[in-house]
Amino acid sequence: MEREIIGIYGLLALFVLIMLRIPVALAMLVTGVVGTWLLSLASPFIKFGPYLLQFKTALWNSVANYDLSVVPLFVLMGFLAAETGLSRDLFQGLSALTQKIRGGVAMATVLACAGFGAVSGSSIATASTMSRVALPELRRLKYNEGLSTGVLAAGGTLGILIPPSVALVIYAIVVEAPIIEMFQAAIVPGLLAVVFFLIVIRVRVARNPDLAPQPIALSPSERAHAIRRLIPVTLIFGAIILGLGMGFFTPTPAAGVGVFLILGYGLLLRRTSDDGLTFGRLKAALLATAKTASMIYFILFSADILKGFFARTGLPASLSDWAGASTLEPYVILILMLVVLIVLGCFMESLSMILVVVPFFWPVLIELNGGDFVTAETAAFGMTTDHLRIWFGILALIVVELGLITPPVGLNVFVIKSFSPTTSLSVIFRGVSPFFGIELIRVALLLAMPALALYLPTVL
Amino acid sequence: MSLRAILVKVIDGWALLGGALLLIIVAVTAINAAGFSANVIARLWGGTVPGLPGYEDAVQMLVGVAALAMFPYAQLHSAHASVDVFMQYAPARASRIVTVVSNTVLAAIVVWMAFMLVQGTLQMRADHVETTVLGWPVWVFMSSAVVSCALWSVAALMAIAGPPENTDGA
Repeated sequence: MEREIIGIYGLLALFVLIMLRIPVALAMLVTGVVGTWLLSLASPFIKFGPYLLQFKTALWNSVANYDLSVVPLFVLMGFLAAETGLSRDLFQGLSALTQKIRGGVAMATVLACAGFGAVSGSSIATASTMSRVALPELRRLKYNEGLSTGVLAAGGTLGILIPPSVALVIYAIVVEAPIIEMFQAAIVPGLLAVVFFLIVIRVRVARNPDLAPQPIALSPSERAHAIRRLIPVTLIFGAIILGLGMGFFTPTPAAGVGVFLILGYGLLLRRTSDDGLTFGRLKAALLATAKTASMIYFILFSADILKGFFARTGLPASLSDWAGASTLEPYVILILMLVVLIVLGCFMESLSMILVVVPFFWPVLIELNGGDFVTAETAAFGMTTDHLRIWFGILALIVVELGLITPPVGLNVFVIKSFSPTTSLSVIFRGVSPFFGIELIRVALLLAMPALALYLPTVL
Repeated sequence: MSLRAILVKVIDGWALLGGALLLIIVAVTAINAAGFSANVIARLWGGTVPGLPGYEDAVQMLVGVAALAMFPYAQLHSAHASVDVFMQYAPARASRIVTVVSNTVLAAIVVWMAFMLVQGTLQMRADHVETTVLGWPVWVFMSSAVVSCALWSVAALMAIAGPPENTDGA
């Protein structure tokens, strides 16, 4: 049997296993190992016995990795921020600042999602944490259910792109892009998403004032208290984001210092109030980190095994040869790739999707662009391979986010539904649809103007 | 206390040990960052403050132990990402079969990986493999991976019966 055919069967088997609710990492691992065994039967050059010897150290090497040490630290930072009440302080402070605007609390929710998303780096964690914090307040103020849940589902997607994001780190490692430049490239598109979401809320509320009630003025002391609590959060989150964006920190020290600052603030808060960090909350944050970090590490380990299998089948190379000979416009193929990512993003966890799909897409893109060493002047996309790496990463992550809110199976929508069981899915999907629409505009803007992503890495 | 309850405690404790190691990494990182900041200031007067020598070595080894220590806990609580889009409509019996098969297969794979890791650890020891700067023997840290894998396979089998009732708030 042709190696490529085994590769295609492997790909099909992977998706069948995933659809059968086999954990994604296990499906990848089994496909990688069994697929390589089948290859060894078909090809005299692939020996299965020596292949298995890599497992003496493969698991250890995949976790004992300095570059990836940022993963559990960022995850811990996000859970600690939630446990110590920083996410709530952020939301309440921003609500106090936007209290005079109709729809201001919904806007504060978007801003808080952006801020919290930056430290948690995970869309689903952002959606669930901010739902706990903001949904009761939006309900109390009698905001429209569709608007409230739609804002939270859409706001949750900001976590994957606004740096520092775990997904950005993983993408950078997969395509061997500089992590800091990926972070810098994500800043403008991330901020653009925030601005666009605020515009959507403003327009929707202006067109239908019933969606958001008249603002209730806080007393000066309540307002001052909320804003006072916002200052430490802003300083901590700002130090991490700016430090990374400006290149003062590399990711692991940034994450480590971020956790240290949040721990310190949490302990300080505990001394002066009932909030802050207790042993129970620290334990809860550590155990929650154990779940998420392990999930990520297991996927990374399995993706490496799977990548080895697909490389041996020659499937990615065949795809890139096909792309080189194709008469389709490079932009058409790029847009098709983005559509595939949106569709897969509806039901696949974003990290595993990046790890499965990007190794296939990336060689194709290089070939379409004109090869590894093409100059910007002669390249099909008008940029070097290094810039293409960054630009495609930002586009891919945005459309992966879109999958999280795409009907009928957007994962973020189901997260919000679990916090608001009385709201029907159709109401949430209707609420999120204007945000989905504006996200498509953002993707179109980035396709038309790559400088939106590439300017900052070039000048910083 | 039943055997299951004891194992749950051991797996929880092992995960918390991993968490404690993460906190050590945080402390070491903060000290290192403070050193670098002090160095920037000291340079203004012609002085230098060194960072922690071998910082990356230490983080690499500690995070390896910490991350794998968390695997059994994640398995016990079925935290590994899976796609429930189609199986939610499947009969309960089919769903149960998938759970049993996937956890059993995983347990078997992890036992085999533990066996391979034992060989890898012994090889590291025989070859005197050490970290680049600190010269720490890698096998000492790597041996914890064998314990983690053993607990991971136990957790996979325990997860067939469902997650433990006490989730410690996580």
